[in-house]
Amino acid sequence: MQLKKMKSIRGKLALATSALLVASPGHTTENSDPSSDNDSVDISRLYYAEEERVTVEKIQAYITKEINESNKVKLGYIYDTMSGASPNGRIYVSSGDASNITYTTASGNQNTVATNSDGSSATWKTNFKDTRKAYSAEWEHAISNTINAVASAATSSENDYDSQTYSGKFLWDLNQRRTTLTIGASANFDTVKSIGGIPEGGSTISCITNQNFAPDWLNCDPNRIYYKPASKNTVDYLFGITQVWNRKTLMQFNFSFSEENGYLTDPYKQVSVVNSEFGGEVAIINEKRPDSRKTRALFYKVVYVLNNNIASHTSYRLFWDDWGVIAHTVNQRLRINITDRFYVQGHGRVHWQGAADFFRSSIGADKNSKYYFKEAPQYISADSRLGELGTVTVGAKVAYKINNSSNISARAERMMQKYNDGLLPTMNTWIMQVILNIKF
Amino acid sequence: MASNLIHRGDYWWGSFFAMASDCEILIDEKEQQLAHTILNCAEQEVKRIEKKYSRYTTDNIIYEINNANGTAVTVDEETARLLDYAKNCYELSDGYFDITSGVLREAWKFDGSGNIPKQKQISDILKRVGWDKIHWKNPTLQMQPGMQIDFGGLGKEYAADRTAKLIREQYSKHVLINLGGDIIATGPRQNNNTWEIGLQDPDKSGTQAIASIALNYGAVATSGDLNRFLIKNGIRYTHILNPKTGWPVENAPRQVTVLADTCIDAGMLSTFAILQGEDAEAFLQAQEVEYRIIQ
Repeated sequence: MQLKKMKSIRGKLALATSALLVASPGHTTENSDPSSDNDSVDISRLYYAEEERVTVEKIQAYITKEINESNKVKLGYIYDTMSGASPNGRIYVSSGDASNITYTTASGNQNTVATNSDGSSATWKTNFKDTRKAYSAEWEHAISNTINAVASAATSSENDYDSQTYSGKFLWDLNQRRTTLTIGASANFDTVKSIGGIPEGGSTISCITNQNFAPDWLNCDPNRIYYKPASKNTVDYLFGITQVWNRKTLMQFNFSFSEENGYLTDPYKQVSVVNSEFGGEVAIINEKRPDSRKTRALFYKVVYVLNNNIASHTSYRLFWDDWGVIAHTVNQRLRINITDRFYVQGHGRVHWQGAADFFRSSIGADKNSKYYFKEAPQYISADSRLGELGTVTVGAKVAYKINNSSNISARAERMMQKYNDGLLPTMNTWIMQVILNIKF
Repeated sequence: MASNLIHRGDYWWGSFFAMASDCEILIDEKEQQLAHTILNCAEQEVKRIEKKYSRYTTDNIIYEINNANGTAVTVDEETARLLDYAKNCYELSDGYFDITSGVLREAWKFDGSGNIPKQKQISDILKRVGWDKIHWKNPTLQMQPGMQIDFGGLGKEYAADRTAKLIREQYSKHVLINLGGDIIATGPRQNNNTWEIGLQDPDKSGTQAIASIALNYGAVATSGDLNRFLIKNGIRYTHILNPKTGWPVENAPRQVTVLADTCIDAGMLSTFAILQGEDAEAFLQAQEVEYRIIQ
């Protein structure tokens, strides 16, 4: 018998049913908010403040529109204001003779020594102020009843950085929609256009006038700076499987890998060359990273619905790359519905990261130094983000359904980061966000 | 309460009568006391919903809405959710599922008498049918005098899901709830056995099963004209009416059974399928659900 081709309404019916029966929380993954099935506007304001460091204020707006049964678009706009001071990798030696150094800066930004309020240590930081505007567009298309395709493009620009991303993925529902396979790829094209030019990795910024204390391999000529933008490209691939295990349990497993190529050095990061006989810093050089990086990540998540009012999200992520960085992240969220309209969610996260092979907090110029380099290092970075570090985050979120078409939520998180290297102080960060969602 | 609890092998079988149906609950528990508590919980919830949404009483919200005479009625949150759901079902079924179509019963009597109404009578009634003629904006509902709504098409399924939800929240024991053929299992049995559900043969009244379905969790609902139809001049008229024409759906399968996560999903999908008439099976295939169909 030739059967007519008919449309599937099962997903929409299930959505309507979950609203009727007051849906169990947590039956969806974080990235698939069921409310996004309707036309809606999301506006959020985020405040991110690292104590004594960087402050970011972010305004985001997204509009989602269902064109018809099988096509949906989502447009986004992000506006960030970033200001503050970020450690630039250079160490501060209080007994050292920083004033002896003829100091020039490639970035055009002002560098300052900032003592932490607890007086424990001091670091060189680069002051900056920048704004970023980003636009994104996403198109979701139902190829068949069980296969969805998502294509997206995003562009962002700030004073010294431009970025373009294009991505596509397929989601394939199997096994009566209890299993979803995801395959995706994205390409990212970035341009680094640091103010005043892009320094060549490893080049000297400044050097002590008495060169007896400088290492033999150091070229004290500071004029090795490229005055043109540099670029880097990234390609990402993602394979994922999401499985509804039973009525209460959902599991997600992802494997992703990416390859970055190009100028991966951070133009604002520096490394101090220290001589213990001299008793301080004898030179500052630009950091230098390899021009390629291969990263891999495994992600596993379990969503468990304890009862209709309590749901738990637990995830573990393992990350590693060919720079020698390995990282473990455990994330736990617990959502509790207080009433039909109001829920609270607790959040805890523990993260540990090992250092990159070429991370050193400084370069030793003499044999007595801890990090003595007999020859010029092939790659070197003192960027704390590539060092060994541990982070603990705790936070809470409250959400309230104002009426059938609008929701408001707010979250606050405290992130505490500690570095293995004693020269780097503990970093504490507040993250606060308010989100308003309106369906139309 | 007029309920009954009997020990059967390794589970308790409770029964009561509500919503014009025999209702039963199979409780996977050894202790009689707990089984009794669970049975009472189920009976109370089913009877609460019956009382609140029955169209045969004069002291509930349905009576108030159907007798508002054109004025707006403000409804409670549960009723609002049901109305939202009915609206969604109306839209998802392209207008074939319509909770205002009950007034067509004034013309159609499925009592075996063989009386087919006149087209004029049906046309007159149709003026009072159509969700699109209703003004529904949560929490107020307004409709023209003479129109009626009823939740008969989803009441038992809703009661089954609500009861399952209550029992899941309050007890760790799994149960199978059967409200006159609308069935939901809250989880597998302790010994890892499945619940067995028999499908009735539409040609034979009684208890003989023609097939059985094994269920761990999830729901089963059946729509069809098992005992309610009308035969005139050799034409068999099903009791499921097309709200657009006012006439019974033509060439519909006699019985459609659907398996889904919730009873109300299963019930809606089986009802939508029958409303598709001869396209019922194509509709079910597009939904990618497990189903049994008897032509």
